[in-house]
Amino acid sequence: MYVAVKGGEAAILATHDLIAEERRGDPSIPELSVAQIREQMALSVARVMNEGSLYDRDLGALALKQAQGDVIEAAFLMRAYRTTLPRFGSSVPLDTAAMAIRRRISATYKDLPGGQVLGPTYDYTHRLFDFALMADLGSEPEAQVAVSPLDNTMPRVPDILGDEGLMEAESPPADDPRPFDLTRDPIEFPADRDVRLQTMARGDEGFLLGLAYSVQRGFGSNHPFAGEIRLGEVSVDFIPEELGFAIDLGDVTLTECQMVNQFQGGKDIPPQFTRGYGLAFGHSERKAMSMAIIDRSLKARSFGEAAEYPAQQEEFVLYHCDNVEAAGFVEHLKLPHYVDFQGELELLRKIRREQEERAAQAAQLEAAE
Amino acid sequence: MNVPFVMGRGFSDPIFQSQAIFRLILQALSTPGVLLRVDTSSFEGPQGLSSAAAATLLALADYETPVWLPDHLVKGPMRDWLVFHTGAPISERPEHALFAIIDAASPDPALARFATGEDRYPDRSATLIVLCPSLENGTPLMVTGPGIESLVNFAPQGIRNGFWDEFAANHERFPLGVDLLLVSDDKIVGLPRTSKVTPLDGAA
Amino acid sequence: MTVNPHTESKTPRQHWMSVLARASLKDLEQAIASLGPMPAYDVMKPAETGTIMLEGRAGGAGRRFNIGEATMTRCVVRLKDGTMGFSYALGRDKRKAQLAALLDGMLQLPTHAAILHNSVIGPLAEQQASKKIDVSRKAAATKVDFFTLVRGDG
Repeated sequence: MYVAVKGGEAAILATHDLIAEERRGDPSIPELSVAQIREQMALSVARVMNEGSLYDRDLGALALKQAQGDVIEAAFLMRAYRTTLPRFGSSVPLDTAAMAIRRRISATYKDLPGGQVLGPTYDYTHRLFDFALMADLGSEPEAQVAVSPLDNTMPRVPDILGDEGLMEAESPPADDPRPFDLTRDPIEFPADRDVRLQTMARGDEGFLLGLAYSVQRGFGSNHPFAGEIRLGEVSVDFIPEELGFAIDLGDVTLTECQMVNQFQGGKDIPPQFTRGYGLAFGHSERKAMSMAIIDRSLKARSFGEAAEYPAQQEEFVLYHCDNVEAAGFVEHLKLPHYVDFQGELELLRKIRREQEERAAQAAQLEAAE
Repeated sequence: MNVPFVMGRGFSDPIFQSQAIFRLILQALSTPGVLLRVDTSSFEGPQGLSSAAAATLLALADYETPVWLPDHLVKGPMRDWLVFHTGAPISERPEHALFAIIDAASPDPALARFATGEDRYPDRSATLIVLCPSLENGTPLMVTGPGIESLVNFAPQGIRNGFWDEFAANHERFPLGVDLLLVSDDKIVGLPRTSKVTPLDGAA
Repeated sequence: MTVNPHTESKTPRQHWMSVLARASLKDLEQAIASLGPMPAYDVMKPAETGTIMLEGRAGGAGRRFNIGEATMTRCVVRLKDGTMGFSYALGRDKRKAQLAALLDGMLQLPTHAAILHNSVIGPLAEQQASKKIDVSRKAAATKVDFFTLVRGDG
């Protein structure tokens, strides 16, 4: 048997030209610029930055343009590009308490120091089409402007309960160790919280959302409250080895979610609320909330809860939430498996042949008797 | 800020130049015992240091690879040069280093003091840059092992007594062990842990 | 040796490096065009784009973890008298990195510092601060006043 394994080069090159034309769409329609995508598709760009694990709004927009809006393909482009860059170091841990707030809400406290700031959100829209956006009127929307700005910083909501000792403490382990980095070392189980949070931060929003929903529906045992969701800009500080002091590199936009969950207590610990944490690039509330719910459910082991459900099993969650890996493995099935399949085919034919021969022999014997 | 005035320049085109050096080091380690030359036109190393050693660290070291240096280099301009260009932390203990420069003649530290990797991750081992006065006309050595078709003869100068016994013990630990890059000026010779080195005049 | 940037106030150099990192290429080009002839300099480390791993803390204050990387660009120049100018900023703008490094070098020279503070750093810092306040005022317009809403409910 002969199986062709070479060829198709001209066909492959022709697909590049064809997909480029498809991507462009109808040439009578003006082409999208990367800047337009960056400014006007910012929530998609944020998702691509999260799942591509690289904060760069221009590159996120370019990835979306190049991938025709396919978010997972765009995330793949970000990951591939990242591997071509040297890494200069790690930032000082970002301080979300110092965030320049644009949105900050709590479902647990009405009156908070700093207040409830609704910010830019679709939460209070009616989900009715705005056909004016289709009409291309060219009028510029204008936001309202308050007389005074918000407070410079606002306390994180769980820290308020923490002061009363009613909240699970959140403090660094001794020596404040450098975090695990899954881009450098393979994940091992049981996985620590730093491993879980990094994996979820680059995990697929849809996968995490589905898992978080499963927890709420009863496939898991926690009952979360949105303690706080905040959106805004946080400055990135970096201490270059050659200077030895911190440099402010500019701002990144982050969404942070603190979930407050049912309380736990034991012989030695008085009952207290437990917490789950989510943090994501850009305005990515659904992602941050899902991550926070699963962060809490993955604490099952440390709270002595039975890990019966998918969202409580860290190996299940961490190994399956990466959409670039998942897409790679599912989609590799479309690559040629001619040799494997031919092997199976031959085997099946042989089994059939043997079966037929045995049947024929049996028939002969029967006839002879 | 303590960056000295006389800081040598780094690669003018970091991506391509570091890749070229990386390729050369790959070549050195895949053809053990063969003398190669580093193109040193693209950067300025610290004064007095072999340019092959400087090029190797410029291409391979970064903020995640602790580097161990002998005393005289820690105290000299080498330290600032390395930190400035690569951001690599200077390791105080040999066993924490992923790269190290050692003097061929100096009895310390012994090869066994450097990281040799773990059974699951033999790659988590140190690569040692060994400063030699010359890589030619010294004690002849016979090098055999993977990457060597027949025999390679190589004769570095100024290697401390007992060094090749230590290297033989290192070879025995395969797949664990350190890898060596012997350098002098712009010349470099690779001796990975897989190589077997036999001094030809019977000296150890 | 490491200084916690969140608790310690900025040194003058940290302040101007921060202003330069947050400026746009256009800002810096305009600034330099207004300054007249620039001092000669060598590029010690050509502007290079790489990444920085961004760390967060679980719960905001707990164990460190890696969120993901961001692109950043750095550059180092050396002025004729040996003064080194550094720049580090998020993003991939190499031209901006080189200009910022040059300005960092010049800001360390007593001969240039005053004019640069007056004509470049001061105005840019003011512009950046006022932009931040504008953003915050728009967010403040969406702040909920529950007291008003529940008044009279007892």
